[in-house]
Amino acid sequence: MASGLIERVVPRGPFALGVVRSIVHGTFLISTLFTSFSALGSLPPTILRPTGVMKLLPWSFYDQLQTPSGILTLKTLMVLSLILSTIGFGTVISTKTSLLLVVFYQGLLRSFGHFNHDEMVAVYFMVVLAFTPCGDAFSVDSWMRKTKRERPAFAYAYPILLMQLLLAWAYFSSALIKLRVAGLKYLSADNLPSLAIFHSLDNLHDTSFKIAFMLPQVKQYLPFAVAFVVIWELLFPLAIFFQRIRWWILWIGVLFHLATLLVMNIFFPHQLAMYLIFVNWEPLTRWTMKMRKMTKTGTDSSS
Amino acid sequence: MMAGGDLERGRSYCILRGETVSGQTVDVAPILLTDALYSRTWTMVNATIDNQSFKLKSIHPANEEMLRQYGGVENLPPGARIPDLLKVWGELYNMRQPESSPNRLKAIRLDMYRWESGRYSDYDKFITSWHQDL
Repeated sequence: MASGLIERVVPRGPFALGVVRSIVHGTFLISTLFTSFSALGSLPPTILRPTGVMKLLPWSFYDQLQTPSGILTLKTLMVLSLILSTIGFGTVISTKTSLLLVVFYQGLLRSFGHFNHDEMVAVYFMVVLAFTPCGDAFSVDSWMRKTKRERPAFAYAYPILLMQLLLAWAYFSSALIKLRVAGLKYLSADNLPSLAIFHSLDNLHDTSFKIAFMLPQVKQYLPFAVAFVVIWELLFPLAIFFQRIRWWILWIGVLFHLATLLVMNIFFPHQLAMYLIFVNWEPLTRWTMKMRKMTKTGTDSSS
Repeated sequence: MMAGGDLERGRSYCILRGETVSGQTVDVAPILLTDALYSRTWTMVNATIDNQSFKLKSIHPANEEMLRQYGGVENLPPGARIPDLLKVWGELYNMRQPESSPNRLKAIRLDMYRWESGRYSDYDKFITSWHQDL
């Protein structure tokens, strides 16, 4: 019964899981390529506060890492591994090395700053992908393989469902925590304006929008907006099971994250990219097969 | 953020500024200098002001040495390592300017303000500043 439900709500083929692998690893590849590691490496290790297992590493390691050659080595390893896992070459190994390197890098960033959420869902996705057959299609591995690997549909559908649940849980638990920590006070008229203004006063945030300073003028309406967001977060899991409302929930999510950028100068680009997990990529496989067939026919007739 | 905003609670915040060789004061956005940290920059600055890297179980040898000089974490000035951070940001900023540019920085500073709160005004009560010549 469980497998029937899974196969009804998520794509069943290896192609969809392969595309998801490319999206998740490709997202980290792009962000790694476009991030200045040399600037990161110039930050003094004396302001580091290693977190979690990062505490187990000796200070001499961080002193070596926070140098131009140390940080360049990390970037090179990350780029190489993420290229392999994105294209699906040596997928069984490369998805695991990419996971390890990305987790280490995220640990380093959080040892400088705080434990924020943006990349966390994508990191959880990498954990799922590292231990599932995500290289069976849409990968160099599958292209090079002479025989087609067959597994039950459940093996490809289950990881996608798990990732959708993880994304939904991120929003659902966020609403629960808000209600548990602040209760109905979270819906007070001053909640959003004071929070948004605080995040707009400095120049240390992602952007420097000043829209927050207009919020006190409309503060009587803001509890409705905040309540709407909390309800949307609580309803997010419905996006998994009901195709009809899925796109409404996801589009509200896109608008919500754009609003937090404009109003609070905080953005979640990695988390937004993970919305692509809800796209059914299986029709793309029919399209690619059709294109391949057309190309083949064209080549045959011209010869 | 989970607890929401509280108008009655005062909050401190910082602005990074540079003093150019031509004598102008300009705002410097650290996210453009150390982009890897993006939304974590403000918490990194807050933690550094709070000397949190001196309050770990195992602290960096250079921080241990500094603690010995000051005679304990309670004697450290706030933001004991902020000048090091400012130096890095100042040098990164200048690396992106041509050698002869009047926009190059001769000094960089972190200004701390406080929004005493309770009302939607008086956002910028000056508290203190850290300065680093480049």
